Amino acid sequence: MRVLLVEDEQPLAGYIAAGLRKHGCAVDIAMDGQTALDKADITPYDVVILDRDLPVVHGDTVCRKLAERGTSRILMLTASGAVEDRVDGLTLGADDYLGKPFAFTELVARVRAVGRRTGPARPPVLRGGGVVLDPARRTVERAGRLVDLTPKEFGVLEHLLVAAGAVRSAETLLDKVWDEHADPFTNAVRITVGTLRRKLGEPPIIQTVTGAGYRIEP
Amino acid sequence: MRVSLSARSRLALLYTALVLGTGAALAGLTYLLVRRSLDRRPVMLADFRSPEAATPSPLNRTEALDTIERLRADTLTQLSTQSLIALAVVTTLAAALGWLIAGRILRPIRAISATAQRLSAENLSERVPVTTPADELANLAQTVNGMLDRIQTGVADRDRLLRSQRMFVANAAHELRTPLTTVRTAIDVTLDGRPSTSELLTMARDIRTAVDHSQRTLDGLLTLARSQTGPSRSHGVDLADLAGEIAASATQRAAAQQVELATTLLPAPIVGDPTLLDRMIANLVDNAIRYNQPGGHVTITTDVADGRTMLHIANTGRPVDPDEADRLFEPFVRGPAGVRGDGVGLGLSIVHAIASAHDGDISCLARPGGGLDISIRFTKPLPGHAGEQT
Repeated sequence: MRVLLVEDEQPLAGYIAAGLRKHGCAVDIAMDGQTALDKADITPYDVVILDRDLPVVHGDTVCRKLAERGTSRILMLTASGAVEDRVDGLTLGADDYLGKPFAFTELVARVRAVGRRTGPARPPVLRGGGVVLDPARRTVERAGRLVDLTPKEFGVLEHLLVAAGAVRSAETLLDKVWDEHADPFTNAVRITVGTLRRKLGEPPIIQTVTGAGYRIEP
Repeated sequence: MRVSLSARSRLALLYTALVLGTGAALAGLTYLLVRRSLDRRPVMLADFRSPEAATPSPLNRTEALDTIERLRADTLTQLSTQSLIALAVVTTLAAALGWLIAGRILRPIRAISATAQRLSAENLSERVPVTTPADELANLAQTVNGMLDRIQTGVADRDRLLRSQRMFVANAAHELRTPLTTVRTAIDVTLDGRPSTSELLTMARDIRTAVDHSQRTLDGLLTLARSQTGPSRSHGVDLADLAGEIAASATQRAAAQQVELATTLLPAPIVGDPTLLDRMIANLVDNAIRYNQPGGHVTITTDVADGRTMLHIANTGRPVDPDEADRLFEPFVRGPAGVRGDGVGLGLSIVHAIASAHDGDISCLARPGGGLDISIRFTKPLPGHAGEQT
């Protein structure tokens, strides 16, 4: 899942990003409102985690503009946790609202819940080709056997399972699973799919569609 | 059981009772007077009753006396009956008139009470109509209007105070929650999995920074609260002495930032709390150095001008909007990101609170070339004058 984190507190942003990456999200960071809008112009983020008190462009304005575009789900994050503020935030177009300070597990759960709302409704646990992937517990099982995956491998598998049989191009996977620091000409996707196939074992479930990308037969 | 009557009924009743009483007295008096005059008057009686008699024939004495007695009794009975009827008519008329008049007199009061009932805390703009003759009721209306004016101002003041207080609480909560969030997230994220020693050390360092920041914010809030309550002990102080000491201790910090510190310290006596005043000057000097630029300067001046003690601190620095210069004294307002440093945004609020507690007016001007020009003028009597008074 591709996440944009908009937070002006430097160390806090670092920790949230690190934590989300551990959970298989590709996270970009913007330190102010304008940068956030610029980044969201270029990349169709699944979820934007938005702090409300932002320099340059206020979080409310960012929220309204992002909601108008409608490409990303918005999770508002703010220190002013009064009821009016929450109502204001949701009225501006945020999909969910979390007051600071929060338990990190709750943030992850909410990011996932909000992210599920992109596109058609999807189940909390993904299944396909004999593989069971539980995003909340971050576990993957194949035929009852636990498979240990890196965050990137997990992200790729999650995306292919969500596609439910449709083909996903290497560019899309790079966009959704890797953050902005990924080299667009890299063969990281090919290598990750390779190790993923090896870890999932026989019979192979990830098919290569020549010239188009990858798919998993549901 | 007490029957509660409206003021209008009571007025009408009183009026009617008065008329009834006076009428009854009048009728009684008339009755007595008539009876007395009838007693005294000699009566000559002749019988006109027999139509056949061409000339009235005098009656015999007993018959005449009887007739006289009967006539007198008839007259008195008639008088009293008619008096009672008249009294009843007059009283009824008085009651009706009294009711109408009482209503008319009380109309302005009803208008006042109706207006007062319509008014609420949200709408205090309506006023009682003032009647044209400048009588007691017009006076009452004016008094009520004056009271409403005062209530309206009071409510507006209270609302403003409440708003600023709510704003302050929200800001304070925000300032305290942000480092708390950093601490919580740092711990949650780092301990999720198996952290390496270097990860743990980084986390500990970040937590310490956040805790330091919280502590500075709390200290600032406490100082601010203390400054707002005003001086706990007051005696004569010379701002020149305080400023001199602060400048001396700040020289090194200024030099480290390549900022030149210049002072013109003329005697500037004031009655106040030396600890608070020291904190006020220290915060101003600290800001002047912190938000300066290499090669810049800070000038501190103390003086007495027009009988008012004054302190003036000017510094070079980045350009400041005039709007921003006005807002700098509000709590938690800092310079834009990148220049705010490690301040918690309470320094100038504390300055403002201390200056206000000492009856000082602050003026803050953005200098055309960048930086700020802050002067504080105190209106408190100088120590010499205070000494004479006590």
